Amino acid sequence: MTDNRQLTTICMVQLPDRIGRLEELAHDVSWSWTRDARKLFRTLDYPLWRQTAHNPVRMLKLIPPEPLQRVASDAAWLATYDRVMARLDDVRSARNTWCATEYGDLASRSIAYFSAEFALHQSLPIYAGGLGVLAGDHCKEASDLGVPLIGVGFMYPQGYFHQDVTTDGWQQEAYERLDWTDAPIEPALTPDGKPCVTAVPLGNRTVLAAVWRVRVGRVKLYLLDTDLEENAPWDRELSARLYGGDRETRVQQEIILGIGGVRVLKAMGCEPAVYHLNEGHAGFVVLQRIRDFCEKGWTFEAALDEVRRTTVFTTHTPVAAGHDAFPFALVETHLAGAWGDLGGYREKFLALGHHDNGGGPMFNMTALALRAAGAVNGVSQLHGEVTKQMWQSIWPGTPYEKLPVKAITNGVHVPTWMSSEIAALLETHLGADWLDRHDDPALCDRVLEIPDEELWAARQALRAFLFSFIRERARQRWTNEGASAPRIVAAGTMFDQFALTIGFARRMTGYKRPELIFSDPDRLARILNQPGRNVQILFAGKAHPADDVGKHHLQRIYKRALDPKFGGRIAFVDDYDLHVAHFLVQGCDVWMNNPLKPLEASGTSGMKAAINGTPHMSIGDGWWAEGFNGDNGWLIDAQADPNDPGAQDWADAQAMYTLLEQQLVPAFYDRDAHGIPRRWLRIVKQSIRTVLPRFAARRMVKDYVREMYAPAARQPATK
Amino acid sequence: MREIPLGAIEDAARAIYDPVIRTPMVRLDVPASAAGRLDGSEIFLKLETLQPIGSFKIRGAHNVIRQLSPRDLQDGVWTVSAGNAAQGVALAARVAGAPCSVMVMDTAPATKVAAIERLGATVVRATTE
Repeated sequence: MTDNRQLTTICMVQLPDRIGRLEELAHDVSWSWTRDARKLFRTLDYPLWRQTAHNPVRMLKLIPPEPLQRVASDAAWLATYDRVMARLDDVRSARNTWCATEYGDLASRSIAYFSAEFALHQSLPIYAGGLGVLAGDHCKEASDLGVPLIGVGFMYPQGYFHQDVTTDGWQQEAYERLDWTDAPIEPALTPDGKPCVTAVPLGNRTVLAAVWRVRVGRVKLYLLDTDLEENAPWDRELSARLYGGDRETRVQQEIILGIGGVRVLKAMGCEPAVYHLNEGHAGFVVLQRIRDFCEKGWTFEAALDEVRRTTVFTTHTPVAAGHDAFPFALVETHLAGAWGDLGGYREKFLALGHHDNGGGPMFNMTALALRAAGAVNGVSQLHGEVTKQMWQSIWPGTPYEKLPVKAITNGVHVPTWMSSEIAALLETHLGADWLDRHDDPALCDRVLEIPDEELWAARQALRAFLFSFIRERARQRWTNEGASAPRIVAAGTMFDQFALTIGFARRMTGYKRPELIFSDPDRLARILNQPGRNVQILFAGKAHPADDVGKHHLQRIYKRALDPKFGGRIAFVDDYDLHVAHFLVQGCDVWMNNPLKPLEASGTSGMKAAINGTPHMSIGDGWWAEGFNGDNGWLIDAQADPNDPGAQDWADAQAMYTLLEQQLVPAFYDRDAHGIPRRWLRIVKQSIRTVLPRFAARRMVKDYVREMYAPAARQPATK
Repeated sequence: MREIPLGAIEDAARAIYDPVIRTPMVRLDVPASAAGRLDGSEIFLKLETLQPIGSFKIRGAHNVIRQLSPRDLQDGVWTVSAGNAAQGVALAARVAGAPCSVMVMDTAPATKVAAIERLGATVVRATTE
């Protein structure tokens, strides 16, 4: 047991008995998407709530006794408290859920969900980007639907980096050691009540992994952590950072996640009916499971069949270099101690990962997962097709139309991403139970009945919140961190809270073309600076620490923000995370997405924006290829020689300028006598109406249950 | 016109920096096309939008309220405005621990009124009729 894990119990705040379960609520992430629970913490001590970036665990650690005593005798607050705690108990009992009703046989079993990152809340920084947010949303929705998911991942003590930007616009990565007592985690206890510690064979040594538990309503997450005193210093560092290391660190992390993860589930007494591998990082799950069957006397082939029957795999990237592949010698070195009775079948196992991407044969984690999973899916209809084309060679002799690859388009967790302002309108005009039925397109048609005046007031308020957030961050950077004046200007402090605001927030990397909008700076400047019809663009996003190309994109955007040509109407918001993302997707007027087609598998930030009435202006890639219907946003659709990337960039940029000049700016600024942009609001309503039901995580998780989990769990077991 | 003694200004400058902040002053980089018209002079911007309520109005409001006696504070403060001045008074009152009422006209934008309420002030609505 390490010192920092003992602290978890030492730092418990002394709560008045009447509100004694507040700590328990703070340690269940489901508070974050439960409106009344958020209200409890917010009204307990509002300045502290903001100061801790909405982290109730840290808040209860810092809070003085007075506010606790005040609420403990406040009848209205206590009524909310009682309601919230009753709901929490109800959630955990998992009765009357969608899954219990529709898939009763599944509800009593469990589904293991492996992912290298999970984005549940900013207070648990174990995510880098879209993949993690998708995993987090999947867990939250599984809880809402009563799907018995158990997540397995890593507790990275240093998480992903904080982004700092120099006065010159260069990204600096700062790794901050997480204070365990600030995060909603607890040591996982085995069925006999002992802290779970699992031994993982790594090379010719054994590494121990401690296990943390995170409660996400009905769903549990087990996070592995190698930072134990018993481990050698270099092994303690293995789980320190997400995507922080070289290939050698990476393969070791993946062995711990896959092999260690299966062992943790066993130690915790779980026997999952289905194993879901979210991306290839956890592919070594397959090794440990085949080995377990072999040690019970199964042949390799029978074991593989049984593993295949119960494994589903989701692939997320159409970029070839985005798939983890290791030299065979490296894999063999680190798997040396992992074989056990599988040793005799080593060559057969290694062949499962064999793939040549043009640079010679490698052990490819995606190939391993594709060959060992009975069901595979891409994350949008288009990406399903791209996946088949990319990986056809995995299934030699299988005709294209029979390849075992489906498409389940991503979705976003609506209670997490929907602003209170829009939610309040839906409650009034769709009914108090709208959230229970939000994946019903007929119900969402009633979005069209929301009066323009009310919708416009909500949109104006959300934009105002965004700018007050930006200014507050800039103020902190200026007063507490001594940031330079140019950084304060580049952060968007000069923005006009009533002007048409475009958001672009995503990882800074080549294929997403962050600088595309600057292709013709003069034409862009004319659009931005038109008197009375100003347009402003907010950028945010981190570059991968090893991606210098991405960092150069960021630096050039930062310099544009200071270029007088654009009149202070370009800004870069630093240190993009879940907290910043909420303000941006809710407060911008338009969400801009211009990847090089078909390299964006799905994209989900645009869905979060669209359900808040921030319509999407995008290339017809990923989800937008199926989401755009002609009147719910804008399609950047330019024809150019597909083999000349320069020509495609230029044509796409021209198409964006034309859309802005001819459609977006006039629709936003043409107001009636009451100052209401009626034409604009028609698009806003269509955006909410069409995206809310179809691109909700609710629809997505139901699809996973119907098309992946239930068929796997119901197939007869291999003999 | 009432004359403000230099001492009062110096006194305020010493006393107001919390919650008021010293905001940055930046030189406005004028595009080449417009630079000719400036005749060699320069433009500087004082970024008072960075103040806690987004405007310089917090300065005066805080300077007045900080000088009130505990007894006066107990009785509370009030103002008539639906804009930045009301937010300034509301924030300064909250910092001083004094109750605050703001009279707003019924034509005031809802977002402004909501901002005043978020700062803890009581809004009293008035009509011009």
